[in-house]
Amino acid sequence: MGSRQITEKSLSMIRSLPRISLGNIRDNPGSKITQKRGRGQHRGDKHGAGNKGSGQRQNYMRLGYETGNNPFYLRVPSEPYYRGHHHRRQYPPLSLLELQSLIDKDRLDVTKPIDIASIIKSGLYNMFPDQKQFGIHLTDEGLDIFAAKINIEVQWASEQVIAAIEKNGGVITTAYYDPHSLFLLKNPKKFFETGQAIPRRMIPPPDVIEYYTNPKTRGYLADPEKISHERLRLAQKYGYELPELENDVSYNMLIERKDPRQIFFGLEPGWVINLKDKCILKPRDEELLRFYSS
Amino acid sequence: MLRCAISALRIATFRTSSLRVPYQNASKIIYHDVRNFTSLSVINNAPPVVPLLKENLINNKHILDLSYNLWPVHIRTVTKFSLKRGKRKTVKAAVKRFFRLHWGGWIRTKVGRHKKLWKKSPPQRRRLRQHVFCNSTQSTLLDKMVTKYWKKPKYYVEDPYAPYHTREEFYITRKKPLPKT
Amino acid sequence: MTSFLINAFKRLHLSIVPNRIISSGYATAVTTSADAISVTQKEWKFPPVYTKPREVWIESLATVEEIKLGLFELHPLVYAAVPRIDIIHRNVVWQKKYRWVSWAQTKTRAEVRGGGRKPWPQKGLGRARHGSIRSPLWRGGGIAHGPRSGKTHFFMLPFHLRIHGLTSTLSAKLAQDDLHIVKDLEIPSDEPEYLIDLIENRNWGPSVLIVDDTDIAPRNITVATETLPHVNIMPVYGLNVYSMLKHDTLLLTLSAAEKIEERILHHLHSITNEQQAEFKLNQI
Repeated sequence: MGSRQITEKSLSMIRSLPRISLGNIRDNPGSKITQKRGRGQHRGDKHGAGNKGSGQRQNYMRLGYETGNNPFYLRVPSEPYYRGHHHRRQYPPLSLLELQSLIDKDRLDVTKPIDIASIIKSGLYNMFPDQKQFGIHLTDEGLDIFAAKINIEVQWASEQVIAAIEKNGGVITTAYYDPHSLFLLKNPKKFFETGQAIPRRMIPPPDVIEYYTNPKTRGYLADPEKISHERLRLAQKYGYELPELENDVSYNMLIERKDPRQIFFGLEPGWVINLKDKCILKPRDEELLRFYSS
Repeated sequence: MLRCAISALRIATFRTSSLRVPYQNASKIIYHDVRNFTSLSVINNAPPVVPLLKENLINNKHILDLSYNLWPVHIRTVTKFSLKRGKRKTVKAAVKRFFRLHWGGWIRTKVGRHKKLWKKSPPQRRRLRQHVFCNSTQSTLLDKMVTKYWKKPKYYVEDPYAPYHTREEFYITRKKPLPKT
Repeated sequence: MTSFLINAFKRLHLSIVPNRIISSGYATAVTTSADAISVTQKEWKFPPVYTKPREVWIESLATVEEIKLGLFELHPLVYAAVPRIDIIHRNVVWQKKYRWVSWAQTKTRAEVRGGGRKPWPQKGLGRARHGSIRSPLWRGGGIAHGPRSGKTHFFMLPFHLRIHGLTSTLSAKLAQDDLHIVKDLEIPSDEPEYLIDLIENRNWGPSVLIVDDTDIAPRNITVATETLPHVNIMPVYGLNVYSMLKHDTLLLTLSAAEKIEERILHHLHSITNEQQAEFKLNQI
């Protein structure tokens, strides 16, 4: 954009210049590279293939072939580095530093509970549920300078990160979302436009059910009593005083949590969002209600 | 509507009836041929048991030669254009042996780490257990052998390779700005 | 002599356009009561931070002479941005190109009539070898790498260059006194001569682009501009760099100026990842 002086100077300069019109504008000199002329389609040369040989005739040896030697890439003994890679869940990281900068840049509203939908909407974090990515892994970079009181829900967090958030009087929950729910959270508008009812969130697979029922990791399926006990224990371990939630001004915001079957804040499974008429259609049928409440 | 359906049915029946006779024959031929073929592969170089037709595919000397010389071929070369989609394919032998770090380096195990361990000294055996880096030529080669799926960073939690995926410790390779002091 | 001429002119004036006296009298009445000028304090959604808002006169089309109805503030991010000539130029080029389909077509050696036969034997004549009389080497032969018709030149200029093109052009227009703001588009008569007079009188140059907030302009001005090819009316959503440069003066109504400001400020202050994403044909 340029500084204020540049703007004012250039505006006052063009006051005395002829009127800007289609006839007297031009691009910056040297901004376009003019192509050198050559005869023939490809400038009449050897097209970058060099003179004679395998370059011109495109008869390269196959990749890694060492003219009869046992090639390097087959000499090395095999090692199962990538075993089960297509089944493993990935959690793209978001550091506390990035989270703090999102809050400082006013891209996140701290007066409301933060979940993956609001973080993706902030525009500086992205994840792809179809590539086995299952949500946010909140990492500990910038742990010391983190200073925001938030109610955040992530998919994975370490003990230090939990301590850093709770030290500032915040609340953290780790919650599991199945890939379909993550698709909805990533682009809610696209889903609402299809006119389908909001589905239920699925329960976590067996190998992570322990993580999400553990009060130490602030799992969303853990007992709230045990979680408050663990909060105190963590405060004693890291030596900080746990701010009291009950006396807080934003107590209602801080204790807000999603139901284990709920995907969006404020919207329940089974509802249909009508974006055109700006209304919500709720199911009334007994069977449907039973289905979505289970 | 009904009439249409009836006529369509009629055509269908007509077609099947007209096709039936040669089709049955064909199935018979194929059936016999398959049986013969299995017997052929067992008894090597024996003449075909039921020579049905001179121009039969089974009797074709060229094809027979090919089938005798069939050998399980290991394909290790990179496929530049796949038959279905016309895309590059990964050399599976490479990802079975090497591991790519996020910064682009490749690591591997040592050659001969299971061989003749009885005559190797303890320090040598310790070195053989280590994983080492590939050099830049080898890394470039391996990058060409795999598709972009393998070059994408994989964000696993509790990943044992997590410390090696970044090179923040060395001042030339560091990516993030130094913290203000 | 001169006084006589002036008097004669005055008489001529009076005799030809009687309604002009009324209008001029009206104008003097307003300008004399200077404290009647309305100065509105704006409530900014995005207040200007480092630069002061630009002040412009609110004018009126009700009279031929210029009268000032009030003062109005414009946001400096929109109306006093850096006038980048190169960005304006790139916008103009984009506007010309994105809908240009080139229908230029030349015939290749296959399409030129004839030339199937080998003109003379390959060997034995002492002449150069040739296989067709329509080869590109021949006079009357095909063109080797000539234009083929139906070539599109479509491309999308990056989103923020489009935004910056609009702000640059608006700022340049305002800085060069070619941007005027009127209260509304009501004019007393539907005669084109009235508009021509008005433009002449206010020294707006021959061509004027009028931009209104609504799709439907008042009757008088639409009738008056119908026969004037160089005075055009446009809704806000049609505002573009090319048209602004094509016309000498840009005339915005008050509501149009506010709407433009609001739309551009909205994009300057929001997350535009979606708009900045690579253009795909199926996104329309």
